[in-house]
Amino acid sequence: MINKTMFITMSHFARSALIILFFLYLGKGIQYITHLPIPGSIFGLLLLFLAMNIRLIPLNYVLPAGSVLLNYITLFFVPVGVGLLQYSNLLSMHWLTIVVSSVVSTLAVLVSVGWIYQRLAK
Amino acid sequence: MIYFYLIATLFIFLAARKVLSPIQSPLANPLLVSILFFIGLFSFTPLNYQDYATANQPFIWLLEPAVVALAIPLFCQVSQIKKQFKAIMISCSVGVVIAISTCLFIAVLLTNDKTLLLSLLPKSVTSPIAMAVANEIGGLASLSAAVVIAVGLLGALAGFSVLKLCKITDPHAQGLAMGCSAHAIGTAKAMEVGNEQGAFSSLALVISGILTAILAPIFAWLINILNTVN
Repeated sequence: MINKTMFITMSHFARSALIILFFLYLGKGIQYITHLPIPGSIFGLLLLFLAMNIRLIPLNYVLPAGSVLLNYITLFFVPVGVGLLQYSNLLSMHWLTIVVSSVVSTLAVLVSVGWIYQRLAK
Repeated sequence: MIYFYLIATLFIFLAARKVLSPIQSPLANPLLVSILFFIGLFSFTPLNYQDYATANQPFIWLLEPAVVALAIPLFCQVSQIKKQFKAIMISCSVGVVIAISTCLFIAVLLTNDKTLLLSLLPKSVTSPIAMAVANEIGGLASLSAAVVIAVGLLGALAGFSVLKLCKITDPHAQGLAMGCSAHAIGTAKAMEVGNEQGAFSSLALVISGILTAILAPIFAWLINILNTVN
């Protein structure tokens, strides 16, 4: 038997999941219409952020499913990383250029962004 | 049992997270360990990677709503973001220019393969943006996608250690640096470290993604001009 509290918890979870999906597909729609090289999920993020800021969507309406998604976001990258297997030929062909340029460039961005912000925000 | 590999991903990741959590080393990263486990499995056994990819579609699909959910930590930090808006925009803009120009400079020294060069330009941003940009400027989208993932893993692994080493201790600065250099994988790591780091990393992910989509074609245009001069 499903009692009343369980039903409320479940319906709140469903509501938050539907809101997040609504903004995702709204974002995908915008991407489809504008053909900009920016993915629908990024538009969805911006629109949900906007909707929360103009008090259209209160925080607790998106929190149930949202916090679960955020808690497991790293997990969702596991199959993405395993997918590197598909590119092993392409990567091994150019490995030196790829490794040197990405390592140096990534470290340069990391340190310069952190350092500049720390200077400016004081 | 077509979803066996989906459950395997969940199990290996949760086990890695539990076992590795007391170990204070950047290499004790559950994401890295889980990925290496499966790459090893499909490289050294006759098991088929394609079955794994098919079974794990639900997790790949959940990435998109998870990116939308990044609006939550962003909203929770909105007053800080408004207060520091100028500093955020300046540091992210400089970050994007450094990301593209350092990568270009080093790659030019090591290769004369123009397609490779163009595929490397968008390496610091989230893979859908990187792939779209690579397509637009004449790079190879699949090569960009692979490099993007590798860069994200590098940032997630080494990012916070490097930042600490360089005395960058402000949680906002750390978040922005992770988001600018290692996109969504770096942001996932930043979310684990703290809410402020997570929110500022999400912000940098969005800003640097959009700026890269605008700036990368300009750099590609410069490469083309230099090429015709030579």
